[in-house]
Amino acid sequence: MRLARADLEAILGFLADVDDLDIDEPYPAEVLASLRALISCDAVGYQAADLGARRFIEHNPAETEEDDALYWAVGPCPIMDYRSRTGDLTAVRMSDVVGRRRYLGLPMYREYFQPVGLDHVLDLGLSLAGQRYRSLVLLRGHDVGDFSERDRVVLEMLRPHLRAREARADLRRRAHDADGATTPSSASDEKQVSLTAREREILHLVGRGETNAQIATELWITPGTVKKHLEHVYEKVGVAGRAAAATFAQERSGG
Amino acid sequence: MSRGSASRLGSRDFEAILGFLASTRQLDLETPYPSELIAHLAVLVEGAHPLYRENDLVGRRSPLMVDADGRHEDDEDELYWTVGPCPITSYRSLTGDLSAARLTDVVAWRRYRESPVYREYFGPGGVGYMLDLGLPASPGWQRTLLFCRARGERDFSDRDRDVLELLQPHLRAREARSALRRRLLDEALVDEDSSDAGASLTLREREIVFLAARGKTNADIAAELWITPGTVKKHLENAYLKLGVSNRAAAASRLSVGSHDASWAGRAPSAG
Repeated sequence: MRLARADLEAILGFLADVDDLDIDEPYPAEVLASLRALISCDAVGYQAADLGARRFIEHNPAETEEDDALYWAVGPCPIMDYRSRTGDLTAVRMSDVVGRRRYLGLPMYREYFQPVGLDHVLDLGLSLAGQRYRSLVLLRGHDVGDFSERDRVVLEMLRPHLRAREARADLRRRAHDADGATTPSSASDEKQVSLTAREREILHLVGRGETNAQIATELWITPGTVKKHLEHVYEKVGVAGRAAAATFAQERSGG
Repeated sequence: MSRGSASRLGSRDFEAILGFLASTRQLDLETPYPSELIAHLAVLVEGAHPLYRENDLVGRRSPLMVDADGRHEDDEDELYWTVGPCPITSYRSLTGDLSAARLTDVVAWRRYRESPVYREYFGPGGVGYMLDLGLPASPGWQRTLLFCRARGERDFSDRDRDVLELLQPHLRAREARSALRRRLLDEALVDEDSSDAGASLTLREREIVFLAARGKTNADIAAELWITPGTVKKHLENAYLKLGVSNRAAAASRLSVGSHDASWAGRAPSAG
């Protein structure tokens, strides 16, 4: 996808606009309004949901309790299903994860979106930790077209900046906390696992897609020892196999 | 790396980081790490000499170093690569781990003191302790922020390491913004949007790679998506080909780097 100059300028403009906004909240109304100027839509919101308990933990702007109850009675929407099934957080449209015909037949569409005139959805996954899913959601009515690939890519490009904004809000909160006496609990600490240095090293190599034999050669140990270390890693991390461990390793180092 | 021993940062440390972010936000974005930014880093970790450094691992040289005074030239770079590289560099190229690490986190001090890189390069230069933060780079390259202290001083503390680690998301955002600016300045760059490794995958391929990354077998995936295991296999093969990898673990890691950090990872660093 090739973005035009105007798109790059619009992204930089958005970043400049939100730079000086109050940082105690990562997604106040002003940020959402700037987002709407960047990607035109009829509604935009930040949401945190507990997919297991089927409820919203937080959203901005606020929704009525009736709306929330309705949402979970007919939902969750196919995008949340897609997130929890795959763990993929990339910006996606409703039309990317479900066929048009099927979507129009879903209770989610017929009872939740359609009555208020909404149709198209574009969603940027911010985090998925256990059952807790956070995202930015953009909505458009029937009369406007679906979000374009440009819209999707522009939204995806905001990711590192939004992450930095969240991290900055987290720093502010921790600075306010009673001299940091409480244990730090940033998002990146959620998956802290006590691995030995060797286990970490091997996990990183698995994350790069290396085989046990390759790892053994590099570290001057036997493939059997590598296997043993990995079994400990799987157990501590709570995953079933090396692909899942590799994903975990990526989240740790990328995170 | 080891955050198991996470130090307790105080509000002063958080304030210092917020101060660093506030004073570097207005700095020129033409390069992500101008010397003014390096000068601010020196305030964050006291009594240390900070340096931005790019290592060409294939050519075994460090073509770019920037310190608080500007571009830094090392006359002994050839010697460094002959007797080195330093243990942190080796650790990073072996593991791919980018988290903040001290020299003493990756090598036993005794062993380091006996290594040629210490005896012939760091020792004579008076350098003792090091603390280093890895930055994302394209294959064959390494980019880091390196802090050095003289031999007679003390090692970096857990606090120093943890403070540095907390800069990661902000530095990545700065790099992404700088890359946007450079793309605007340099039209030629606008075309090669190769930064998103997953961009060329179809949604079906992406979905299957992510399911595989969750530890699911081809049979599991087939059952879930109502397709045959043969089709799953075919989709995965196509995805491997596009991502330039040979197995599911590697595909998963390529894709999660590509999609989550699409806009800052993987730019060739030689332009600085």
